[in-house]
Amino acid sequence: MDASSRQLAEYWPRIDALIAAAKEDPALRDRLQYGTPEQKLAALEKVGLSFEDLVHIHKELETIVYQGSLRFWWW
Amino acid sequence: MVVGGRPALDAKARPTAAVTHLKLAEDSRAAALLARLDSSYFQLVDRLPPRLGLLARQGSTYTGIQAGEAFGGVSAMNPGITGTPWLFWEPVQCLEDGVFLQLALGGSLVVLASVLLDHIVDGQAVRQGEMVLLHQALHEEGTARLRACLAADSGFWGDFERLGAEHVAGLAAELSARSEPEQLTLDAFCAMVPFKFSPIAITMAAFCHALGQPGLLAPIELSIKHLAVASQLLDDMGDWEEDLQAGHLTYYLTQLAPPAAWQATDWPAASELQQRIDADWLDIHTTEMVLLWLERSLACVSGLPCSAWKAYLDGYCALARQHLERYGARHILRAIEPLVGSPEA
Repeated sequence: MDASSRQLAEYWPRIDALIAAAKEDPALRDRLQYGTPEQKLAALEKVGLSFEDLVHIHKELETIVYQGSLRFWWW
Repeated sequence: MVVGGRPALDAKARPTAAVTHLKLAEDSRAAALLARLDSSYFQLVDRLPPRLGLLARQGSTYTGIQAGEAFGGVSAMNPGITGTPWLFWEPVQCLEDGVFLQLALGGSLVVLASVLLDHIVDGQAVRQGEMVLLHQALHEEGTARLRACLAADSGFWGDFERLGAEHVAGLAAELSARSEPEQLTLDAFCAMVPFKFSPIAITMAAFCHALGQPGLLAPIELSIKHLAVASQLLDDMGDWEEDLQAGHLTYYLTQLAPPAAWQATDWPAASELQQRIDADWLDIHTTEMVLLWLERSLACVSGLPCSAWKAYLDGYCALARQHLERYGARHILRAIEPLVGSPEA
C-alpha cells in the first residue's frame, strides 16, 4: 500500500460514516452540500474530521473520483 | 448496504474484468469446449446467405456499437449471456462433449437471436431487414440444435415456450413504458427486466432437462433474473447521459424528473438532471439497490455448487461497491472543495 492509500485508509472510516449519515439525513446532506463553510465544517466535525484532515484527504478523494472508467459493456 | 468495510482503496483496481470475461484454466476441458463453441458458430455463419453471414461476423451486430470490429465469437460476449454452462460448470460438466456442445451452441444461438430482437425493438439496429432475417436464422438454428438433444416430450419445451413468451412480454412492456413514462415504476421495472433475460435462462433450462434434473432450473433461473435487475440498473445509471441524448427512456431517468418532463417535446437538460442526482444522491441509493438485487441473486444459488457463477456475481458486487465509493467520494469532494480552495471549486 503506498503512502496515499495509507492516508486514505486512515480517513476512510470517517468519510464512510459521513456518507452513511448524509445519505439517511437530507438536512445534513443539504448542509454539507449547500451550507455555509461553518455549517459544512460542523457537519464534518460530527464524524471527527477537521479542516486539516480535509486538506490531507482532498487529493485522495480526487484520485477515486477521477480514476479510470468503471463502465463495462454488458453485451 | 453501506460503503464501509474497505479501509484501503486501490484506485487502480478494475473489477470490470470479472464480469466481462470467463476465467478458464488453459488446456482444460472447459477451455477446449469453449473454443469448439466459437468454431461451431463460425462454421454455421459460413453456411448463412452471404449478407447475413457478413452481419453475423460483425461485432456491432450484437453490441449495437458501430465500431467496425469483427465479432470475436460467442466466447467474446459477456459470459452471463452466452457462457452460462461454463459459469454453472459443476452441475453440467458430467454431460459428454457432444451433448454439451450441442446444448451450449443451441442455447447461445437462441440468446444471440434475442439480443438482435432487443436491438430491433429499441430501434438500435442499423440494417433492420437483414437483422430480422439473421434473428430468424439464429433462432431456428438454435432451436434445431436443442431439438437434436431434447426429445419432443421433454419438459424442456414447456420451459422453452414459457421463457420465450416472457421475453416477448418484457420487450412489449418496455415499449409501452417508453411511450407512457408514468408506467415505468420500480415495480413495473422489476417485473419487466427479468423477462428480458429469459432467453439466457433457456440455455440452462436445456442443460437441466438434459441432466434429468429439471428441479435445478428454478434457483438458477431466479438467480439470472435477479442479476438482470441489478445489471440493468447499473448499466442505466452509467449510461444516463447517453440515454438522455438518444431519447432512450430508462427507469433511472424517470427518477430524475417527473413523468410529464418525459412526455414533453424537449427533455430536461443533462445539467438539470445532474443537479437532482447531486441533491438527493440518487446514484448512491440506486447502487445500493443494485447490491440488494445481487445479494438476492447470490442467495438463490447458495445451496448449489456453481463457484464460477458465484465468483461472477461477486465481481458484480465488487464493481457496484467501487461505484459506491466513487459516488460517495464525489459528493464529499464537491462539498469540501470550496473549503480547501480547490481551483475546481
